Amino acid sequence: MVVAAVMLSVLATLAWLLWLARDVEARIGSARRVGAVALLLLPVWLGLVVFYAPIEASQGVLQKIFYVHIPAIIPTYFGFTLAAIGGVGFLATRDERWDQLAVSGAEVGVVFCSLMLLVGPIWAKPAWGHWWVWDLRLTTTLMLWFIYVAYLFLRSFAFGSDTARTFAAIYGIAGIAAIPFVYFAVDLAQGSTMHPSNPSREGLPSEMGQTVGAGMVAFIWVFAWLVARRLELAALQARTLSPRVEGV
Amino acid sequence: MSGPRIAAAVLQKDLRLDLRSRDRLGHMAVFALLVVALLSIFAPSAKAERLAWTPALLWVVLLFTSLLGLARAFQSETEEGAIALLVQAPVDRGWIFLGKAGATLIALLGVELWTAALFTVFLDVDWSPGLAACAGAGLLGAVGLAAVGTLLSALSVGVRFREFLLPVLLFPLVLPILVFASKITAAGLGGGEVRAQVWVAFALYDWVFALIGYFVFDGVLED
Amino acid sequence: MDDRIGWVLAAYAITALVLVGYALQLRLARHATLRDERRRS
Repeated sequence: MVVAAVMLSVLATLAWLLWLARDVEARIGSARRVGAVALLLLPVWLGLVVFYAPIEASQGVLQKIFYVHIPAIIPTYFGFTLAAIGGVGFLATRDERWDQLAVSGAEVGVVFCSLMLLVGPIWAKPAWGHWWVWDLRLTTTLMLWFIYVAYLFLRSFAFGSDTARTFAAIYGIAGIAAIPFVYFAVDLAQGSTMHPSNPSREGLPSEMGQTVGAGMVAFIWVFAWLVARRLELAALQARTLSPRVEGV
Repeated sequence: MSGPRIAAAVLQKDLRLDLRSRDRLGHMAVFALLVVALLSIFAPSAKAERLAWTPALLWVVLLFTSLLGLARAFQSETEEGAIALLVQAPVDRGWIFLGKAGATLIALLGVELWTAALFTVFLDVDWSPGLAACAGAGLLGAVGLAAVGTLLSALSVGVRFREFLLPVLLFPLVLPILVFASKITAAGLGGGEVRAQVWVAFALYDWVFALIGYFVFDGVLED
Repeated sequence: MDDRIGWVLAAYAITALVLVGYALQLRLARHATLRDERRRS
């Protein structure tokens, strides 16, 4: 049921964002409702974290960082997927709106990715004694971060122009193509992993699973709202740089 | 002119340029020499330790040396304004990418041989136990670096802060190359075995990026 | 209560800060862009 809620949220927000990107300035009003949903979900999630989720035996309260670290995974990948989708769309149609979707997805994706990289060590230090460990998931997340920060750099250095957008789209595609290989490569290089094993395989107590799920759903809606706002900014900037007559 | 012919023409042109001016190749060779010589001074002297580090070191040196070469991959075109001519070629532009990448590949293979020799001289590395494996890793590594590097070099032509941007774009994407190649090299030198999956993943990676380069180069040339 | 609660609070606080901070930054950029536009027209 939790999985269903997460998947539904992803599909709903994805559909909404694709619809929104086609005419951001006219449709941005809908973001208000999405924001409201996010604002409702957040306290629910926090409430679950504090009152519903049990205190884990071995790690104590520290384990509760779990509920803010794991949910950030989905927006991270969601954002980078949007960047790839936008990139392909732009290369195919040369319509700037796809590119706006791409940059918005990438930027918000980087925000959530950075969050993962900040919160991970906050957990690792008290739990394992080190701020950073070169384990599979953390390392792959770091590589992901590098790829998308590079993507943002490329965009900013290349002066907003069709060339820059094309190049960025290509790099976005190259980036996402590289990810499975990076994952495999890091796994190979490590040999072992210190990361707590995948919760679903461990048979997590249901309260924990539900709390994580609630976090995921909440973050997805927050993510969607942020992407929408970023899209709005992109559309506004496009408008100011090239004032258009009425009609697209 | 057919596609493969254009690729061959581009490749030949680049190779001739490289061999005649000796700029690119010379700089890469000297750079590799400098780095290896420096490393050999402060590398651990115990043979076992050095052997443990050699594969990783080798590929880091190759990475930075290639970077030098890649930055110049499109230099002749930009300088002579030849890009406009290339664009007019009535053929699938992906072949131009293959020609360019091919020239880079050959240059990189040369650099690898040179660097391997340097490692033997300065760091006492004996390549014979794992010659086949190291050669295989070298080949696949060069192909991968050439494919990804040529594409990214093209993407960053004329972009600000290119000396910063190109490495930043390149390094995360080539991490798999470095890992696969150094693992295979390590296994070769140490007499270990590498899972077949690694070779498959390596070859697949090269294939994927060669394809990406081939298909998107159309978009890249419109600049 | 577990004295490691400090770490947990730090984690959540940072999350809030980052997300709110980013949202604010977007808003500021939006204002700046609109202002620029008004100046031009």
